[in-house]
Amino acid sequence: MSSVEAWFGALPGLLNYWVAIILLVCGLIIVMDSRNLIKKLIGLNIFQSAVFLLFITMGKVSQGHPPILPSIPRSIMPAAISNFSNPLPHALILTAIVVGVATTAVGLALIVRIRRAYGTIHEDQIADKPEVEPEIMP
Amino acid sequence: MTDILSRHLPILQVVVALLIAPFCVVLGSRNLARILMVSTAVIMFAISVMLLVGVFNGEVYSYQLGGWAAPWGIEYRVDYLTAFVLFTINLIHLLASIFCLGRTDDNIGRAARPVFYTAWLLCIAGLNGMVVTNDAFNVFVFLEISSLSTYVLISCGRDPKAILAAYRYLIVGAVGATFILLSIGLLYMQTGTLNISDLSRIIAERGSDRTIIMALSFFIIGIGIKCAIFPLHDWLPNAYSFAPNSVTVLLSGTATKVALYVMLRFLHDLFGANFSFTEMPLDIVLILCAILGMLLAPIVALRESNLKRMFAWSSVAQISYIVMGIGIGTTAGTAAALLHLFNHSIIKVAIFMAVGIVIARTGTARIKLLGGVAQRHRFACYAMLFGGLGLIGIPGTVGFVSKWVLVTAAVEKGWWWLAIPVLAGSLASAAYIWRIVETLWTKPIATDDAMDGGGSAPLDAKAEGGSADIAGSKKSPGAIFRERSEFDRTRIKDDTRKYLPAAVDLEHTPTTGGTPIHIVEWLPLMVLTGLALWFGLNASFTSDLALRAAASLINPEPMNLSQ
Amino acid sequence: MIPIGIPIGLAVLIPFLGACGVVATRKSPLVRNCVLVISGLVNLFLLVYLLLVYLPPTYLPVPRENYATVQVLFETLPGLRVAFHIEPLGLIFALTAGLLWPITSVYSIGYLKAGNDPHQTRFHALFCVAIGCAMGIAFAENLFTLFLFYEILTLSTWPLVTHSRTPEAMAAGRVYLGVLLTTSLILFLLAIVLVGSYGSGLSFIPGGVLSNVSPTLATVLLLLFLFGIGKAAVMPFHRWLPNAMVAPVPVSALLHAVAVVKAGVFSILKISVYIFGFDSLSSLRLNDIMLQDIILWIPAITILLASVIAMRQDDIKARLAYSTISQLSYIVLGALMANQMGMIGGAIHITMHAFGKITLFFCAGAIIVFSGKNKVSEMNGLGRSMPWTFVAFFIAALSIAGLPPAGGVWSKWYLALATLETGQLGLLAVLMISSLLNVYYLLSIPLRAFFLPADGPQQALENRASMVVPLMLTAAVSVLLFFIADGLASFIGEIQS
Repeated sequence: MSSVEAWFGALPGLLNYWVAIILLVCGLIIVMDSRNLIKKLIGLNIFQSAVFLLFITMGKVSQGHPPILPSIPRSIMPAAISNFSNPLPHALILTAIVVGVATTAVGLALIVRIRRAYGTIHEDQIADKPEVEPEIMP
Repeated sequence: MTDILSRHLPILQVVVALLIAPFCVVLGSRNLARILMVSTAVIMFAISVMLLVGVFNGEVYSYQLGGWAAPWGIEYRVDYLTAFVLFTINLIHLLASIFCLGRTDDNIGRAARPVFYTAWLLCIAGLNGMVVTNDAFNVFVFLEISSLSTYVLISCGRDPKAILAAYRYLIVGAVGATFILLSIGLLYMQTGTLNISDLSRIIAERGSDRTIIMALSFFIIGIGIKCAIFPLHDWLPNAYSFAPNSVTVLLSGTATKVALYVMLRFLHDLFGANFSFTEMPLDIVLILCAILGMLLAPIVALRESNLKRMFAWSSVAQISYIVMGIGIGTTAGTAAALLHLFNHSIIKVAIFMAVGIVIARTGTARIKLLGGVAQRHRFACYAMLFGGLGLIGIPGTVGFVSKWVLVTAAVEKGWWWLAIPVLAGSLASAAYIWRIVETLWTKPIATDDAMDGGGSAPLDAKAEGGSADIAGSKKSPGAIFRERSEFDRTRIKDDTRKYLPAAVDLEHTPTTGGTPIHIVEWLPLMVLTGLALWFGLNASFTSDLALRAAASLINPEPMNLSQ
Repeated sequence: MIPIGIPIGLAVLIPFLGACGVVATRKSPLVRNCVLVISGLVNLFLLVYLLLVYLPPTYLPVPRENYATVQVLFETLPGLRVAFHIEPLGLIFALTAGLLWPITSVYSIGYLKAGNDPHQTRFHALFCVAIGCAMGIAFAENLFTLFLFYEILTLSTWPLVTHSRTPEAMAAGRVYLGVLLTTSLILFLLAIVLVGSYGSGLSFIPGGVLSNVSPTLATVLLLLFLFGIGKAAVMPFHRWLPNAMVAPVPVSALLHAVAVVKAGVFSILKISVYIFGFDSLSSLRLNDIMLQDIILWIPAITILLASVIAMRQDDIKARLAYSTISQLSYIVLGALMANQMGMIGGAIHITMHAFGKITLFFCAGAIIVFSGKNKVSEMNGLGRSMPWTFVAFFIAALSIAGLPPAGGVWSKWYLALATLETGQLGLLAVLMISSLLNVYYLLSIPLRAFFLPADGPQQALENRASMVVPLMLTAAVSVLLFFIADGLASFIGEIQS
């Protein structure tokens, strides 16, 4: 039973990963299961956030300090501060967040147009309502 | 001067379109936007040709963005494979943007056009970026740039269902892209680098572990969605059939092809062929998907009632041939995949152009209502027929060349049985192509009056269920000729005339002759048909190029995976 | 070196140019018809020139070695090229098709005019394309070239088969295309790929290219070729031929005599001689079982079954169609017996059967157009109204059945000798029985027409020279072939396999 104990013992250290995985699965289930277009989009956001969390987590180095150069000279810097967290994942995730926001924006814009054309944002009702006016773009 | 220019070619390939894109909107003039778009396409094509020539002269371009050296900074890299794919997509983009000036998408009005062109340019910039970059995270960023603009482009379709199709593609596409992001994250976790060459080296040194395996699985699922590999193809038929005609043309020749390129690059370069194909059974998985796709998709296509959607299904089938080539994994197999990537691009783009012309002139994509159209739109229909023969793989067409190379590669590897699904698949495509040929040429022609909405519809169309209620009401009989497209097989009882473009305005079209085909429509179609004809008879250029590209991917020493 | 490729290239090209000319001059039927016939004659002239150039050395102005015999047109991929060459089998086939083309053109001009057909230009143009493909197949230097023209031939004859656009014609077209494309795209192409991968190239070389291939694979290849070349109509892939009978009579003539089925059996003959070679054909074995002896029975069974079915057909065209299926398998049998006699017999049977069968079809067309009758049982006494037609029918039937004084006797003679050489007396019996059946189901038609009393009043019906003259002509050639068959045989006998 020691392997199980070891497994549970590692749980707190891997907490972030577990949260990420749970969020990932939740998001994916919402995306697949929800019939409301906006809820689908929210699910997508949760799903993406989970991946962001994963990235951020791996940037953390244990006992690492924020990767900001202190103003004091390096020679008198305490030894403990020589250990920095990795800044790169944060930079990457900043980009990914922008991408995610853009995706959400496009998705919402499409939902607005769907609502205008079909009068509903529920997939079942859209399927029931095949007759819609075409949208003439200006 | 030329030296500086030539050093900066890789970044110019991407950045020209990115920079010009906002100007299309900012300047606010439709004509200016048109000129900008086409000239960008010309410049980008010229750059891709220069890169190809440079690569032929033995150069390997490596461009460090902002001067940061490779493992830390973003590197753009151009070798044979990159130059080959760049050449393909920029050629298609040039012809598609000329085609886009035509009147096939009249619902996108004056004011919307500049925005449309902006999205168009962003899309192609993203695709070029995906090809040219050698940085895994950068691939994701460019993938999203191109995907986001693709959603916008698709939603511009005439049918309101286009918005729905775009939305669904957005959801599926974003999930796919996030999978890829996850995969890149896992890779970074294990290796601490994002540069593809660096990743490749480190993975080869460390060997694989569970994280890398997870990364590979997530990547395959994510990119499989973007490539529309058979079980993950769900978005493609809807997106292609409801997108504006010119967007279908662009996407069919570029989007999936670039995704396939990324897959090839990651599998061979990043993960390494040894890991992807020998340690992991990816070759079997890919080949199984390919076989299913090339056998099942044509059957769906055969039952499809919408012309555009039918050819979209045919794309799913044809992508399977490329996937099979990738799955074979040898130099010959990869070369076959690349050759078909190019060949399928030119024929399918030509087909979608012809389909677009026909749809815009007749106002319908419903196969049943297209009887005898060949007698009115002879050129477009013959181009479609020629492309169709290419899809079947009749000897003398590009389709035959790629099929031959693919089957030969399979036999070379000892997997001669792969020839059977390939040949059976081409036979299955013969069935749906011939269904179209029978309709376009031999079904009773709809009378001129009916075609233009003035007179009575042919009897067989009238006898159809959906139009029975129209016959009783006071609506125009020309309503028979509207698009009764299907979305997820929901039949729609739509109203008169609403899907008809202005080109076939019911009241105002003269009873003789449709809208003449404009030069911007027939010129690219003619160029593509000519290319398809030439490369079908003399494939030495394309096959040589594909072989060099495959060798540049798989070398240093040609790997023999069968042993 | 004198390039012989140019006349060959022209011989292939002229029919295609003829098609373009026909389309270009569609506004004036007279000019169009002239273009059609003239291109046929020019093509014939070229073929005769080629024959004179290629005849045995004693007749040659320049020794044969001085001619470059391979003309490469395109190199599609390394090892995959469109190229032409000249050799006796191809020349015989090309000459047969080239001689029949102008004659058939004249006949079809008359036939279509009589029927007031609205799509004559399309018909003539596609007919030209089909002849061009036959020329391409005849001169093909390798399997790829042959396959290229084989497929174009399939596709270009589809609009001819469905010429009338009636639902029956469209259904027949589907069967036609379905069978021919299925067999060629799966079996034939697979065989070509395998030959390309395991053999020493795709070119037709005397002695074959499969000497290094294991007998098992060679057997598989032989079966793939035998069934893959659906145009040879070996059972069970014969259904398209009777189905295609809905097409106009000149199309049937094209299918049966000139281009399509002949292209099929010619391909089999050429593949057996130049891809397999007699040695590897006769050494097919699997654990001491001589597979060749078994495979030979596939065409033999087709010969018998098709003859039996033909006897039961009352529709004259259907009867002729099954007769064709039976006769084609004679050629296939000749090709598969893998000896000199069989090859000669098969090759000259292409010519003999072409002239005999085209005469029969011309006659059938004339009977249908002039008298409106297409049932054999209705033809009693018709011979007195249409004497020329039925005399020609009689001669052609003699040729098909293999009786003197018509050419068919020689091809059957050689085939019989070949069966003796293989030692399979059963096959000889098959040939004999089939000949007897031929006599029964073909000769009975003119006899019935001449000797049985007519049902109705009699008047002269043959009032269209453009239809009667061609059939007399082809019947005369059938008789002529009886006297020159020896020359043909020695010409083909030159091939060293």
